[in-house]
Order: sequence, then structure tokens, then C-alpha cells
Amino acid sequence: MKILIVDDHVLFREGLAAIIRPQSDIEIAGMAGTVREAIELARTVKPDIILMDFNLPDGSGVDATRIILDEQPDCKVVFLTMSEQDEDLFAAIRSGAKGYMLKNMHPPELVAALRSVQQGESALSRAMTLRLMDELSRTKKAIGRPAENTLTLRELDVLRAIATGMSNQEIGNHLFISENTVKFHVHSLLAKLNLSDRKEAANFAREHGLVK
Amino acid sequence: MDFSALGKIFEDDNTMKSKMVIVWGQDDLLSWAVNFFLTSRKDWNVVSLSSERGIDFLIQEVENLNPDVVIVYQTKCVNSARLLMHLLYTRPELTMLTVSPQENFIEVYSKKQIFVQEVSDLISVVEGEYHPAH
Repeated sequence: MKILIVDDHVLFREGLAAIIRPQSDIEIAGMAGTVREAIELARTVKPDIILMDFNLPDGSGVDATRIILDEQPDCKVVFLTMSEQDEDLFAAIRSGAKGYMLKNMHPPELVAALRSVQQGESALSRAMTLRLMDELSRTKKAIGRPAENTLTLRELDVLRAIATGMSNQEIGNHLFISENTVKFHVHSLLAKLNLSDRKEAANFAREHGLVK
Repeated sequence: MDFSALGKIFEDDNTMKSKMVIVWGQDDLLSWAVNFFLTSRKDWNVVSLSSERGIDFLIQEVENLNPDVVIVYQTKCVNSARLLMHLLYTRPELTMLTVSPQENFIEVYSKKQIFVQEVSDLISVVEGEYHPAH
């Protein structure tokens, strides 16, 4: 497999090359230190895998990845970065990367990850896998039961009032709106939150800290 | 007789080592790279110490091994200005390097000790114009 290394940190980049060179099944096709160099080299050498740093002097590895994958969709990009920021991880994955690994990994892990990616698997550092799982879990919960931030401010007022045990008429008086309008808001918020009745709505409000 | 004063290290094969370097790092890719590049110099004696063992261990090993150069990682050093000051203050012959995992920089620290011959030495140091040969 042909590897392109993209990193502006000279010691790190040359170190990666020193780790990879002894591997008989892996060839270093080129090394780049900027987004521009990465795009140009990728066009020239057509690598199987690109080891991509996240922050580069003239832009982001995400920018480079989008352009390269647009031109060479079969190329596999694996981010190798110091960044443990969730937004960087998600941006990298959204750009089409097959992996996101942290630079604190050990050399044998890197070589093993490259071979896995070449065989069609993804490569994620353990810490980043956990973050991704957390995010997916949160997204799944949000899909199953939309969060309270999908409600309008008035619906939130009504939900809080329901949680305090007020009737529709009492809520109307409290918010200076008609009882019919309250009924409309109750119906709407139950539907948005995928709840069946006022009791569930009250529980939801307490669980999400909307009432003390 | 104390041969350590020679500042040279002899290996089992009696090869004279011209430099003793301590690398205080982690078991990661950059540490591996730095060690790889340094150990490729056969005339240098490179000792890797895990930063997980703490600053006191490093200070103790510097005392034991009497290195010419100590290399530390900037992330570790940010919280360890005490380490830099201690080592440089007590060992004027030592050069310290910090390697940044994020930035493509090496920072170099060393202590400059000046024997004062004239008051003008003080003035010229302050003015940044001191030249030892003057």
C-alpha cells in the first residue's frame, strides 16, 4: 500500500516515515507539510492511505480531505492528530475520513491501524471511539424523544406549569392566555416530545431540570 | 580516581561517547521519533526516561548520569518551569531542549555564567553587547 504523510511537524513526520519504512508491505509515496502540498502530492502519487494532521499552516486537514476525496474517492484518509476535541473528531468523520487517531499511540499500533484501514476497516483511538459512541447515544436519544430545545418558549412555559400541577385553566390564568390556547400548546408539546399525557410531561420536565 | 570528570561515557565495547543525552518523554510516536534520530548517532549515549516517573526522578538521574543535554516535552515542561530553573541553575554546563508535540519548534535553554572583570561587563550584558572575548 502507498502512504502519503501530511504533517507540518518535521520531527513527527520524519519519525512516522522511520516507523513505516521497515514495513515491506507499506511504501511511503510522499510527505507533505501543507494543505496545498497534500492536494498536489495526492494527485501525483495517488496514495492508498493518507495520514493527515488536523491543523496545517495553510488550513485544516479537513479541507484537504474534502478536496482529495472529491477527486479520489477510493483514497482512505486517516487523521493522526493531537486534538481530542469532539468537534475536530466529528468534522474529520464528516469529511469522509476512515480513521481518527491520536499521536500518543505506540508505533506498532500505528502500523496495525494502517493495515486495518487498507482492509476496509476504520481506525479510531480508544478515547475517540468512546466519544463517538457517547455522541451517537445522545443523538439516538434525541431522535427518540426530541429535546426540550425543540419546544417554543411558550410551550416551555406551559410544560413548566404542567409540572407544578396546574390545570389548563390555571395555566391560562398564569400565562394570561385562553384555556383553548393552553390546550393547543399542551397537544403540541406532547407530540413534539413523544409523550402520551400530562403526567409524562411533568416527569419529563423534572428529569430535564425544567422545574425545581 | 573519578573518571566521570572527563565527561565521557564508555560503553562495554569501550567506544567513547562524546555526548550524553537524556530524553524525558512518553511512550508515544514523537518520543519514539526523537529517540530514533538521536540513537542513530552512534557516538552519543542516549538515555530515555519515562515522564510518568516524575520530575524528582529526572533530577536524580541528571545527578547520576551527568548529561550534556536534557530533552523534555513542552507539554510536560509548561507545568515544570521549576524543573528548567532547577537544572539550569545547578548545572551551568547543561543544555536543555523542549520539544513541542504541537508546534514545529525546539526551544533551547542554557545558563550563561560570566566572570566579571570590569564594571563594564555588567553594563554590556544589560545592553546585550557582552562578548566573552573582549
